[in-house]
Amino acid sequence: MNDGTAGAEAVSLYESHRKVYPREVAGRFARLRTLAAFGLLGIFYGLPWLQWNGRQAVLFDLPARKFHLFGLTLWPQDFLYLSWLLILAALTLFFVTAVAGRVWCGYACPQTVWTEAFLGLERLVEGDRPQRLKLDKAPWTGDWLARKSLKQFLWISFAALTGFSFVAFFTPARELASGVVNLQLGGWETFWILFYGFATYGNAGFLREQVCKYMCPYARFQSAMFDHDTLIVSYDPGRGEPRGARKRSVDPKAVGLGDCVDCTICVQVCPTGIDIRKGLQYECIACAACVDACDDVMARVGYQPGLISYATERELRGEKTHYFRPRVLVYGGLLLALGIGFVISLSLRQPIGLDILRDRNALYRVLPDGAVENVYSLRILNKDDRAHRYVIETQPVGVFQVDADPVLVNAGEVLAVPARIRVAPGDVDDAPRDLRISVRVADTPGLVASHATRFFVPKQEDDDDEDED
Amino acid sequence: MDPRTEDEYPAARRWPPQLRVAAAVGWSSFLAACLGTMLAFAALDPQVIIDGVEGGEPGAAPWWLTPTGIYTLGFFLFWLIAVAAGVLTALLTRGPQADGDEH
Repeated sequence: MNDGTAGAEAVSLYESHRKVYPREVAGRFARLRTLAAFGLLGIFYGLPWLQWNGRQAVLFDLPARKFHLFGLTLWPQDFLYLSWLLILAALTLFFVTAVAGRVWCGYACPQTVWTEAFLGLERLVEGDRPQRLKLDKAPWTGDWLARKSLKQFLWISFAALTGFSFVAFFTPARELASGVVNLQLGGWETFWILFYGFATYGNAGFLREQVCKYMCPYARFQSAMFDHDTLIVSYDPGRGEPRGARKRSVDPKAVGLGDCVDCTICVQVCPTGIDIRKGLQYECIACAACVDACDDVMARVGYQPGLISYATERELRGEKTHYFRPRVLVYGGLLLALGIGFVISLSLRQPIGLDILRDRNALYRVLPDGAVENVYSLRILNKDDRAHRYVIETQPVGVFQVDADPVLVNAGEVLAVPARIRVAPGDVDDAPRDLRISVRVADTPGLVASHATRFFVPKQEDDDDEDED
Repeated sequence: MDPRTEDEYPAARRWPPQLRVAAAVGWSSFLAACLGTMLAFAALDPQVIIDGVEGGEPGAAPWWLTPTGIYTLGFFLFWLIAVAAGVLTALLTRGPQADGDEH
C-alpha cells in the first residue's frame, strides 16, 4: 500500500467494484487448463460413486469415525498418517512452487477450477467478452432477464450439485442421493449441502480473483519459495518495449518500436485482471492465458512467439537456469524422505489396535481362595477388511492366568472385552507388578498388539520402597 | 493501466480496506478452524458427548445432537474463536501509524 501509488490507490479503494470479464483464449496452455479442470472436476463429482469391495471407495465416514481410501481404512488412531499426508502435500506444493512457480494456482486450485467452470457456464449463456460487457450495460429487457435467469439457474444447479458431491465424501453417496430424491435428508446433511453449495456459488460466481488477491495465504507467501530460477509468467520488456500500435507493413525497428503491439489482449484474457507487462505481480496465478493470447497475436502479425512466456528471471537475462539448487534439493530431499517413510510406515502398519482401561472401581479383588484378580477393559480394534478371532494373553506368561475366551471382532469394528487376570494365592507375593496384555490374531501368525499396564495386589510392607513409574 | 482497458476493462476490482480485513480474517480463521476441528475430533469421539447427554436413555438427546451435528457445531465454534482472535488482531494493529499510511 506504500508503493508510491498511494494517491491513485486512495481513489480506487473506494470506487465501486467493477467486474472482470476475462476474454476467452485458445492455445496450448488453455487446453492444458481445460484438461486439468475436467479431470479434477471429474474426480470430485465421480469419486463418491466409485465402489471398492462392496463399499464406497473414498468415504470419510465421520459418524463412524473411519476413513476409507480404497483398500485402506484409517482410524482416529491413525491420525498420524493424516497429518503426515498433509505435510507431504504442503512439501509438494513448496517443491513445485520452487521449480515451476504457481502452477497450483493456475491449473489445480479449486478456486481456479470452479471459477473456470462458472465462467464457462456464463460464456455459454451470455456469450463472449464483448457480448457480456454489452449485456451488463444493456437495459433490463426480456432478453437480459432471460439470459441472466438462465445463467443463475445453471450456476445454482451446479453449486447445489457441488454441495451434494462434497457431502457425499462424508455420508455414503447412495444413501444421500436417495435421501435427496425421497426428501428425507437429515438436517445436518441438508445444512452442509446448502452451505458448501452457497460457498461455491459465491466464490466461483462472484468473488473469483478476489479470493486469490485478498484471501489466499499461499498467494502471499509463495514469493518466499521463488528465486531467479523459478518459472514465472513473464513479459520480455527488452524485446517488447517501446510498445505501440503500428501498421503491419511497418518495420518496428525503423519506427523505434519493440515487438509489443499494445493490443491489450493479454490484459483482457487475465482472470485476475492484471497487466503482465508491468512485471511479476502477486495477483498473477500463472495460468498462462496471456502467453496463449500473446503467441496468437504474434503469429498474426508475423513476429516470433514468446514475448510473454513461462521463463525464469535468469532466462530473461539471457543466462542459464539452474535446476539443481539448494532450495530445490532441500525441498526435494525432504519430500522424497518423508514420502518413502510414509509408504514404508503404511505398509508396516498392523491392522490391529488395542487400548486398555483399568476397572475404575476396584484396583484389585481378593477371591475367596486367596487369589488376586485385576479386571481390565480391553478395546480391540480390527482395522482389517475381514473378521478375526483374537486371543488374549499376558507377558510374562506363567504367573498370570487370563480368564477371557477368544473373541471375534468384525471387520472395521471395535469390541470392548472385559479381561480378568488372576494370580494364584501362592504367587501373589512374587508376581511382577508390570505386565503386558496382548491380543493375538488367531489366524494370522505374528499379528499381535500389546499394551503395558500394572497389576495391583493388596498393599504389603515391602512395596513401600517401590517406585511408581 | 492502459486507458482503453481501464475504461472498459478495469483490472483493479479493488476492495475497501475494511472488506479486505474482513475477508482475510474470515478466510484465515476458516483454515484455522478446519485444523482445530481435525485435531480436536481426532481425540474426541462425539458419541461420548451424546452418551453423556442421554445419560443411559437412548434417544433422549435432541434431534440435532448427532455426531455430524457435534462436528458441525465444533467447527463453527472453532471458527468463531478464530474470528474473534483475527478481529482483535486487526483492531490492535490498527495503530496511528497504520492510519497515517492509509491516508
